[in-house]
Amino acid sequence: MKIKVAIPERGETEIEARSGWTVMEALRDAGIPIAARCGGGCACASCHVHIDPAFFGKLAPVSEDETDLLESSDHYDVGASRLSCQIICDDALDGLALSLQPDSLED
Amino acid sequence: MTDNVAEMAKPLADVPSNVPADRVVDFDIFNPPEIDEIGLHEAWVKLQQSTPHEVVWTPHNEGHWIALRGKRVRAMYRDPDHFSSHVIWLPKSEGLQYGLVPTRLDPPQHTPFREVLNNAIGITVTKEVEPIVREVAVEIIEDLAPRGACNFTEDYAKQFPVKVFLKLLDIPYEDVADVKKWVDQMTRPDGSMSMEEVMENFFRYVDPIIDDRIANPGEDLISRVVNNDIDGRPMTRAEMRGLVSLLLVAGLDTVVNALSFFMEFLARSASHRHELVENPKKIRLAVEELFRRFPVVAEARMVKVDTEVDGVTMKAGDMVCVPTILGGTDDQMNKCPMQVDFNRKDTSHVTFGDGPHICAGQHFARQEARVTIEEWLKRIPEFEIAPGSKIQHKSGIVCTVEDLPLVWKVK
Repeated sequence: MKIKVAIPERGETEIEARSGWTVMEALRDAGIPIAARCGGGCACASCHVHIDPAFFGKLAPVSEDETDLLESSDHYDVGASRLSCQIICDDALDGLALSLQPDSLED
Repeated sequence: MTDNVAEMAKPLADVPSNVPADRVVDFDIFNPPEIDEIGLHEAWVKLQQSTPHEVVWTPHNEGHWIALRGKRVRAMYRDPDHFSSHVIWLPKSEGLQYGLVPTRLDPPQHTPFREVLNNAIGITVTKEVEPIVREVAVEIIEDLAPRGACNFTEDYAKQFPVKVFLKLLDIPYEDVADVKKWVDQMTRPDGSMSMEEVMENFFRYVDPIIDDRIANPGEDLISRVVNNDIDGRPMTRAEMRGLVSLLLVAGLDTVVNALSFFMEFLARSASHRHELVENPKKIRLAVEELFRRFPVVAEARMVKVDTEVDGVTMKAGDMVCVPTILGGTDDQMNKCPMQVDFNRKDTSHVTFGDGPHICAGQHFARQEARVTIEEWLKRIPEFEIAPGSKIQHKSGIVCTVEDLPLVWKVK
């Protein structure tokens, strides 16, 4: 499947992702500068992305733990925010459009 | 470890021409200076703080680079084009013998194998098996609680992951001692067995199990691993052996060690214990903070092509120790990194590595640690290190606490 990625102040790019991997892993392995500081354990908010409205409703529901972390972000948007380590790539999500947030950029 | 046979037999390597003199340090990753006096993490951090450089070189263990800063460690793990997994264990001559698929593969060959592991032990399975993990934890802790004392490393840490894995892999208990012995020789060799012998033992052990699970597939992890294809082609026997052995190594020698460091800390800090006893919901993020503060792995990478790093040229074939131990404990990654703060924000660590080879069992490891602390504190909220005992740490590819005698008042 393909993922369209918008990076603040750096424009857009499209990456290829394999089913079964998390979106965070796909971004990381494609060289996208995502922080992902806990490594994908739903234990920090540094892989926070905003999901395009066309796809947001198609994702598996957000857990309480994930919500707690997202709410700590200055860029939290209840209708768009997800942790990319909690989304599993699937062909049904082909074309998934998302944007990295300032708190998820690697410094 | 001054009586280490392998170490005594090995002379120091000559400093190669690409290593500037100001990068040379005297540091043996299997026996860091002052580990007995100041402790494992402190001994590594002392090396980090002793130099302004991000990479240094040591003549121990056949000579190799060491990355000293968390951000550098993360960047190397994310860059398999320059830092290959072709050899991941030091010293290099031993690492060349160690061949568990897929840890020694780089992308894209690595990718389909990793998918097999993700399916066997990733997020989904982890959530499914939580009741089994909890049942094992409760059983062991309820047995220990009335005794008022235990050696945590022997009586809990070595029992718990083993019993969990026995259930998940569906293998008999009497085999565990042998398997654990080979795993220890891999990660903290004492020279009694060559890596070649270790691998032979492993494969001789797993072969009949693989045969059985191909013939009689079940729901266990080994069945989930061996009954797979690799991008459409059948898996070879060598690949199956590698993956199954990897599950055993990873399952029996990592959480054990991390848990022992966590419990040593909790035994010494009443305030942190009380914080969790009073608010068990905090345990989930507290476990993350403990993984940050007490990483236990020091893997290596082999330089793939000549690469400039921090002002030096690493030559193709050079080895680099990439210690996760210096991730979360780096003051450039986290403020006051040696303090444990369960309310810390913006935690950053590389305890599970990073990049394509990031620990496939990281979710499982977090769960085992969280469940242990939850169930332990319910039954044994107050405990301390047995008076008069000195706790010793051991450094290696996977670092460990030697013995951890704990005592508590029986209710």
